[in-house]
Amino acid sequence: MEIGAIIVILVALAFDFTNGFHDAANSIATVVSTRVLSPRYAVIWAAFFNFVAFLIFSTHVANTIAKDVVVQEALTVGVIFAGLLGAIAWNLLTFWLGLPTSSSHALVGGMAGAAVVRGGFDVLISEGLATIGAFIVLSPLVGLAIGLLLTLIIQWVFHREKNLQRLNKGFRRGQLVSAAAFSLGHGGNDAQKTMGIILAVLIAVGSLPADAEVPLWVVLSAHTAIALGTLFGGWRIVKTMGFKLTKLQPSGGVAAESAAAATLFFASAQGIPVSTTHTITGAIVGVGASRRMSAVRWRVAGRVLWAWIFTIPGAAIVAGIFSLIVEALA
Amino acid sequence: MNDRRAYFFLAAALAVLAVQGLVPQYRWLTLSVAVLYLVFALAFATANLSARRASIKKRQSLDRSTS
Repeated sequence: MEIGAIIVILVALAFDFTNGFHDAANSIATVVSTRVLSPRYAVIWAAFFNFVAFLIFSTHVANTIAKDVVVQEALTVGVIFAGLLGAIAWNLLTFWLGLPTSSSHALVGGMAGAAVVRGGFDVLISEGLATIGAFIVLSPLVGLAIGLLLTLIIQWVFHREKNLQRLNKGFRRGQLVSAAAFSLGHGGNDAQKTMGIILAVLIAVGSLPADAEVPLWVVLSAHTAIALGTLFGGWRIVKTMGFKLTKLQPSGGVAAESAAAATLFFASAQGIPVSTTHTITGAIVGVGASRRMSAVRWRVAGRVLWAWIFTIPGAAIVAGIFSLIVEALA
Repeated sequence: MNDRRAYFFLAAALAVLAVQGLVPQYRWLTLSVAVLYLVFALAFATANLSARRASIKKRQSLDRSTS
């Protein structure tokens, strides 16, 4: 394998690490904000379930990233490298600003931007991008709907319960399960985006045929990278998600995480790369909206929304610039 | 209908329906979520109306008892 491909694979794994660092904080935000686990144990819990997700999910999302965003002829090692650099730069910028944006959409935007600069808009696969684009809107709204529905069901089932202390204790235990489910969903969907990048590189350099599936070493290395990223996760975003958006009780945490996990499980099974950040944010807003609209801090939600809207074009522009630099240096 | 949640869920239903054309293969999902949002919108709107009606009745009965 050529040295360029090895470098891109290492950068892809570094991106996966930053993804864990940036996005996986979402997995533990509600557990920490409801004080079910200390931050230290919460990250270990999330990282473990990020890693074991490969035992549950197939690699449909990886195939979508490698084969359904940009035509394979346009996916050279240089384009993939520039796309990754664009996504990483965007992630670091939004991390520095404390914005919970999507690493996944930064990656898709980065790949698309780097490829368009080299081959024009014809290299984009409109059907794949349309599905990803639709789920930018759908994943938080599905999470929100399920989050609200679960909250209403919980309120209806337990409205006669007088011993609130016992009820909270039960839900705090339940949150361990729902946080684990969400971390599984996060590992299952997000680690596969890196697998997709590595698969595209291996196909581009001819190490694998165009219709190849993801090799096991790629699966294991991607899950290891995201789990390590989670272990070193950042606290700026945890604070935005868990503390600033709305105040959560343990029952709300269970509802939010279960709703987001269900949405991620569905998306992973269908091979759709979605943002774990969008999904959990939608679910948290759904839980908050069950109380009253003022329970959700809309200024924070609005700031998050703008960051989402600019992620794909922003990452695409940054990756396009990197693509020109890589082309000039090559 | 002045519970803002009703308007919010109405807007959410419209947003889901707006992207439906991009993913015709998931029409069952988009339609189910849109219907769910419309049910939420209706539920919050009517719950708000009932609360307002009850408060008007209470005020009227108070007015009657004081006059």
